[in-house]
Amino acid sequence: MVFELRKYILKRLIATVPLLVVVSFACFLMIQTMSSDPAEVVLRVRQTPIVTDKAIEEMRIELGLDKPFLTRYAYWLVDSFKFDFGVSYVNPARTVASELKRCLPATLQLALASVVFVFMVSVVLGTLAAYYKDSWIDKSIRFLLFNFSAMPSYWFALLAIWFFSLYLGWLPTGGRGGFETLILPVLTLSLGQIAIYVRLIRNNMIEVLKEDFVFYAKARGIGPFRLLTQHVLKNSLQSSITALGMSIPQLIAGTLVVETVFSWPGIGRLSIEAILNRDYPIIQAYVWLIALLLILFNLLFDILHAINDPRIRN
Amino acid sequence: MTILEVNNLSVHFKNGKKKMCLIQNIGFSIRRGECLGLIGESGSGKSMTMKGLLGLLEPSFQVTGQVVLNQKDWMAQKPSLKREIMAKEIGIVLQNPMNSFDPLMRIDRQMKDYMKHYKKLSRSQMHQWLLRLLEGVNIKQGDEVLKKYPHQLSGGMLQRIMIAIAMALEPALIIADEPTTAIDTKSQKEVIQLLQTIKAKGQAGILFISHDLGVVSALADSIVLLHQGKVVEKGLCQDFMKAPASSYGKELLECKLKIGGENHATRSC
Ligand SMILES: Nc1ncnc2c1ncn2[C@@H]1O[C@H](COP(=O)(O)OP(=O)(O)OP(=O)(O)O)[C@@H](O)[C@H]1O
Ligand SMILES: [Mg+2]
Repeated sequence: MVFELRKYILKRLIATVPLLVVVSFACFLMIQTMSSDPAEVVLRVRQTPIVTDKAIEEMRIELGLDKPFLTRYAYWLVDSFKFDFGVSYVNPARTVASELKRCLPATLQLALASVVFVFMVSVVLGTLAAYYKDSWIDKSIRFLLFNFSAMPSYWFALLAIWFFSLYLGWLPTGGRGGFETLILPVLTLSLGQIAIYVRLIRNNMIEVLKEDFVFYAKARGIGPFRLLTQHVLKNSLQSSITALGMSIPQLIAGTLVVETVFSWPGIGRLSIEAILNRDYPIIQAYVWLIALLLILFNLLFDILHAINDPRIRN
Repeated sequence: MTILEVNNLSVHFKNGKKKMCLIQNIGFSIRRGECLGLIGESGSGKSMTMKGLLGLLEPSFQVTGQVVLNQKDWMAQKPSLKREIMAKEIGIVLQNPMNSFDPLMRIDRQMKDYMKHYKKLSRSQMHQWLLRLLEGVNIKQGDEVLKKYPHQLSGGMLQRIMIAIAMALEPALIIADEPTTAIDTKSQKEVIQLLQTIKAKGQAGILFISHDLGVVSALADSIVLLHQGKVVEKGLCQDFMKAPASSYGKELLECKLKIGGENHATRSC
């Protein structure tokens, strides 16, 4: 059994390599084909008084932009695996890596708190909605989630700030500090995801509840609580586990809006600033990081899935 | 002694304003050591009868009638007591062994989990006991089987494990819903033999549900023939096999003779 699992993990790891190559290339290409010339941008941002052709030429050499395309890609790829993304165009005193390192913990904190929150709330609400299918419990859960998740997150964030921070004065409007600063950003970030997972868990569970093994368990006198927690829930979470692997990077990427609204000092806000300043290395590193996280978490959760479900390994 | 008595059992299905009658006024009784065959073609309401009398249907089904189990009014029992009785006094064997076990749980846990509440044993004693139960249904490599997940075992094997589970707490009533339908001929023979042994011990009453007249005649003392949710014939099994009283019974039996096979006679009609 353990051997099968190891083989499965190895297989999945190998399958990841070509994916990494393609994604990294796309990531590199995307920035390369942007309309404005990075060298010119750097000169502008550093407020060079007169931008001459000669200055641009020198800057191109300084940035390594004069080398052939594939060479640049190879350098970039090797460097990026060493977490060396060069220096920020805007602020040459800072490396991209140090900027990311400074901002990443704040984002990870936000994203992980959201994942835990999403998972706990979805399991409880999804189970209730499935078990009491079509009753008022089910209907009100679905009604509320539908309405909240239909709101754009910046809109919900503004409403939440108005109500909880300005009107009631319970929570801070922004910034990163203690637990209370985490509440509104997590709520904003989670809402859309909760709607997705409640629906996923509810629908899966309704299907699972129709299965023969559920009837057999009931016929053996297993009570509703044991039935749900021991048998039904585990069987209903299969697709959610895989989806969660995709949701974590999505949440990290989703911090773009939330971090800006709540002035949360994470990589989302960093990259918004970078986009406004056309600070290419940071944008590139950000995109690459998100892609990497997507692949990584997808892999991780596929493996978790295989550990949970013995049928997948064969 | 009568173990199970069912009177005027009806099940209706409510779908919005429409109300469909699935089974109507079914009645029979089973004594200890007796095997009653509940027969009828596919869709005649055999499984519905079983689910209805156990009270395991969803709220969208309306069950009426009287069920007396061990001299007690079954429908009036508290849910928690019902569960305890179902665990201890009723053994169940179902039609689809492949789908009847939780696919994510090893066999030993599925057997242990519900028994341990009623059987206080240490871990190793419990293991030994499970092995003995499996031996009772001709599974010799019990140690290996217990470690497996359901998808790693054959249908016939799982069907025998179900019988072992059904017998484990020495119930007064065994309900077997088409236990031979989904498995190969060799396993079918074994299952029938196991049920015959159980019957011979005389400890339990058996409600044997099947559309397969050949299998029923090997086991049942008496039969109840269902057609479109209603009882069309009741009586001793021998009498029915020789000369059915109802015209529908005659039809069924003729079908079986025409095809000549022992199995799947009525389903092919
Ligand atoms: N969930 C349901 N909703 C509505 N009608 C149902 C439902 N389940 C079963 N029925 C109907 O109840 C009737 C009896 O079904 P039942 O499963 O008891 O048949 P059966 O005699 O056990 O047949 P089989 O040999 O196929 O197991 C069928 O006509 C079926 O259409
Ligand atoms: Mg049936």
